[in-house]
Amino acid sequence: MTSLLEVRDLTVEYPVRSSAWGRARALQALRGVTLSVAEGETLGIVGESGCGKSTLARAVVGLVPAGGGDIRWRGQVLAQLRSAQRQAIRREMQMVFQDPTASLDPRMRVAALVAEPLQVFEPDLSAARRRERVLRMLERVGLAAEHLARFPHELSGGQCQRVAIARALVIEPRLLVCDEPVSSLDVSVQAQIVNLLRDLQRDLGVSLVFISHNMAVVRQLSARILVMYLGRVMEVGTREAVFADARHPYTRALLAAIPPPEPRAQRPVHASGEIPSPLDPPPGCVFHTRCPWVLDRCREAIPALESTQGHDVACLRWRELR
Amino acid sequence: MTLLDIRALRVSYAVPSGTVHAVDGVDFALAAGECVGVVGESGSGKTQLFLAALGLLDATASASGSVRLGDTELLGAPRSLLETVRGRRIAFVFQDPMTALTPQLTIGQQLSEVLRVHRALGEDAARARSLQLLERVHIGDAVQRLRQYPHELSGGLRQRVTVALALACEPQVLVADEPTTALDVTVQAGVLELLREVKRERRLAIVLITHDFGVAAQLCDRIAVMYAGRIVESAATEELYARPRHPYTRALLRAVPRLDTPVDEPLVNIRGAPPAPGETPTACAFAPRCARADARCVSERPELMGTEQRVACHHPFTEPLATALARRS
Repeated sequence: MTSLLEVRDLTVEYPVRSSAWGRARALQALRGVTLSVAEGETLGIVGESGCGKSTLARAVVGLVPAGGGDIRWRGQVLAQLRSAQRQAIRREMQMVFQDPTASLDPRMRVAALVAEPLQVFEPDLSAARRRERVLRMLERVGLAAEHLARFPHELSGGQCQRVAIARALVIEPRLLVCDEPVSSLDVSVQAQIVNLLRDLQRDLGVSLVFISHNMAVVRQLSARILVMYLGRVMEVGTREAVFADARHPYTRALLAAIPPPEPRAQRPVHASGEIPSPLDPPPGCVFHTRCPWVLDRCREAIPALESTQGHDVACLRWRELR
Repeated sequence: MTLLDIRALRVSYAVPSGTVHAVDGVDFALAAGECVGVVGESGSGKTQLFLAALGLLDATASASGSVRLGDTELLGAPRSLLETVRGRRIAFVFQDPMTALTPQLTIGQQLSEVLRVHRALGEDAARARSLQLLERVHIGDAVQRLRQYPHELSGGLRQRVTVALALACEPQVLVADEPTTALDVTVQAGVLELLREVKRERRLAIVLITHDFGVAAQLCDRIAVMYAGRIVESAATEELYARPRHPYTRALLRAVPRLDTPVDEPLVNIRGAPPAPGETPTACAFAPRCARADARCVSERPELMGTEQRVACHHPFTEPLATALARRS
């Protein structure tokens, strides 16, 4: 499989000022993140707040500038392209955000919301042809002509997320980046959207980057899974590898963190304490302050991402802990 | 012994198009030392039910029915009475600890204030007790934490502080509304463990309001499932998970993806969406989304029936969930 998207050693920093007089400090949201997404593949990215997963999504689609490293699209380094070429590539990567009620303009009707990307990227399309594309896309995401004239506030959360997905897919992108697309939805509706994304991915062959804090949700959709913590990649591997043979203590903590809907289920606790501030990340392995297997050397050396048979892990002790 | 006894509670809001019932006739009882989960999706009325019980509803809402705490009727009680009950006998822990805490006061000032107002402690005694409370909820460096402001603490620590505040007056009942929802997944477990500990050691009665069956399973002795302002099923936790009788409960339990859910088939889902507020159903509110619904379900409202496991459905399931799943595969 050829890589559609390749991210190499990506670093993103935000300047943060703690008071009006204080000096700006750098918050390192991403520290040397490397990943790739193949044509038609789904990559799941899992992590909690402050891990950089949203920054990663935004950097990939160009909403935040990269501080270091590079992002390649079909082998071309995006930063080296002229703006017209970049614009053409932007069309091929679209994004769906967590809260559809915030990402959809409340003053626009569904028809206009879904038609807008077509007006931008295919301005020569006739009005009739555009209407047809919009309707076809709406039907594809499980809505109908009756929804065309509605405003976002007249739709349920799940329907709004369907509109956001239609809006992203109507211009036929090759990559869809979804940042926590089901987290703000009711449980009974989450499964509908997960199933929809799975169908769309299969039928349209679009690549998917699916970001979530929930391992069970990510597992449903992703062929490969990347686990992040405080701006760094902790583990990457196929779904089978990561779930059957989780190597990083943080991955195990995430797996143990989902309370199963069963009374008296025994759950081992694999992470103590709290996530440190990304402004002041711990030295050495960023997870060492919470890791039950921490040693002195974990506090000093930053573990490199070590690869064995396509399953990568950044932990000094993973071999002993298996 | 029933500690909190809610009967026929109804919460309504006047809107231009008529009246909206956020809670539509709910009976709910909580015994001393018991933990009851109230599980529902957004708009099910689970939070409104307990805001009404504590007289915390918005001024535009009206509540009817009865809410008794021991021998005291709370619904319609004068403000002065409610103020002695809230905090002292019933305490609340909210979803978002940042909005529950006052941003411009230190943790120490907030704890001391509660202790001095409700328990009439002097300054030194309040400080000593505050330290004990922080240690009680496993906050390290308690002396230093007392001097810090809420924004200086992480989300998990903040939620521990709100639990400490709730415990300050040794209440009989703790109402925890989505106490772990705003927290990161690896931090949630610690806060749940804390609640479990508090329940065990203090014989505190807890109402856990949540949308998450996984969270409820960890803590609750009994669970009431709410849909569109009514309780649709109520049972002992073990029984509810093993043999969910209401189609909504059953579908909701299966809709949550687990680590062992097959990945090569679609997730079980419930078609449509919960009714919007304002659509006050006269029949079964779940009927439009229910695969078992027939003519009776769209004309006649099912009442909550039964003694141990209560269900409001004309066609409840009877076989255990595991049996049904085994037969399917």
